[in-house]
Amino acid sequence: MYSYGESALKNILEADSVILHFGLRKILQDIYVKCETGLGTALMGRNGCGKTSLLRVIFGELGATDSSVRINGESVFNSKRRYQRIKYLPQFNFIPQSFRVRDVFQDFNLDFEKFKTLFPNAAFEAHTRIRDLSGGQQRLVEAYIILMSESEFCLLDEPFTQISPVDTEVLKNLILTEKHNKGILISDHLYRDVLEVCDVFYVMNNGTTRLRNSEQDLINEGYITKATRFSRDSAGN
Amino acid sequence: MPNPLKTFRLIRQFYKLFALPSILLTVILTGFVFQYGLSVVEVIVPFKLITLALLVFYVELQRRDEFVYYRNLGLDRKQLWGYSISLDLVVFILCILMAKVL
Repeated sequence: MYSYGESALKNILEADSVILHFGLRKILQDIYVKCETGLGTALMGRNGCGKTSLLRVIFGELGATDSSVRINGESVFNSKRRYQRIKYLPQFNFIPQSFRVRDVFQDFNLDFEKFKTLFPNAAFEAHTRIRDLSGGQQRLVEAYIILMSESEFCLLDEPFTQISPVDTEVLKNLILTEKHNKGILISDHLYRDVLEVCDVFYVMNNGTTRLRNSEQDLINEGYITKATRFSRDSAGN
Repeated sequence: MPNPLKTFRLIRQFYKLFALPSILLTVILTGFVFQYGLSVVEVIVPFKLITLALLVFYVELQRRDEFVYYRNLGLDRKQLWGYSISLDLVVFILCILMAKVL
C-alpha cells in the first residue's frame, strides 16, 4: 500500500486490545485508536493518562501485556519494515548529541537547504553539532525529520513544545501538507494548535480512549475548562 | 532495514559510543598475549567479555534515549548490539591471532 511521493494511497493504522501494567497499576485498557492517511488524529488527555505509553506501544518501543497494532488489517509486530512504516517523535531529545545536523538530514534522506528555506530563523548551519543547538532548535530539527522523512505513519509526542510561535505555524502547515501523504497521530497539551491540524480527536482517561468531536467534548471530559477556553480566546483577540 | 551502506554507517556511529575504551583494552590485552603467549588467553577472554558487558550496561544507561534515533531508521536494539559487539569481538580475535603469529 505504501506509495510515498506519488499520489498517496490510503493506509490505516489501528491499535486496540492494548493492556499495559506498570507493577500493579493498570496504565492502558480498552483502547481503540485509528489513524489514516489524509487525516490528522489527536490523542489528548491529562498528564499521566497513558498517551505516551500508547504511542510507545504502537511504535514497538514498549512491550504491553497484550496489544494489537495493525496496518491495513495486518499485524505489524512481526513486520521487519515496522520501523520504516512508522516514525516516532518522542517527548525527549533523541538525536545523538555528537552528530552534526547534516549527518542527521543525510540519515533521514532530507534536504537541509529546504529546511533552511522553510525556517529562515533557524540560526544554525549544516555543520553545527546537535549539542550546540538550543532546546527549541533541537526540537524543531527532531519534529521536522520525523514528519518529513519517508513513512506511512508518524507519531508525534508533543511536537510543538519548546518551538517558537513563528516556527510552530510553519510546522502546522507542514503537518497539514504531510497528512495527505501519511497518517499523523499527535499528542500535545497545546490543544489549540492540535485542533487546528487534526480532524479526529481521541480523549484518554483512566487508560481508555474515547472518540470525540469538538472542543466542547474536551470540556465535558474534563481535559480543559471553560475558563481555559475563554482565556485562550481572549488572548487570541 | 535501511540499505547496506547506510546500515554500516549507522552501526559505525553507534559503535563509536564504546569503541575507544573497548579498542584500547583490546590493544592492552593483545600486548599481554604478545608478551606471555597464548597461555594468558583463558584469563584475558573472560576479562574482555566482562568489560564489554560493563560497557553495554553503561551505554544502555547513559544513551538509552538515542535508541529511538536508530529505531526510526530501521535498526532496533538487538541489531545495533549484535552488529557492534560482533565487530568488536572480530577486532579482538584478529589482534590476538596477530599477536600469536608475531
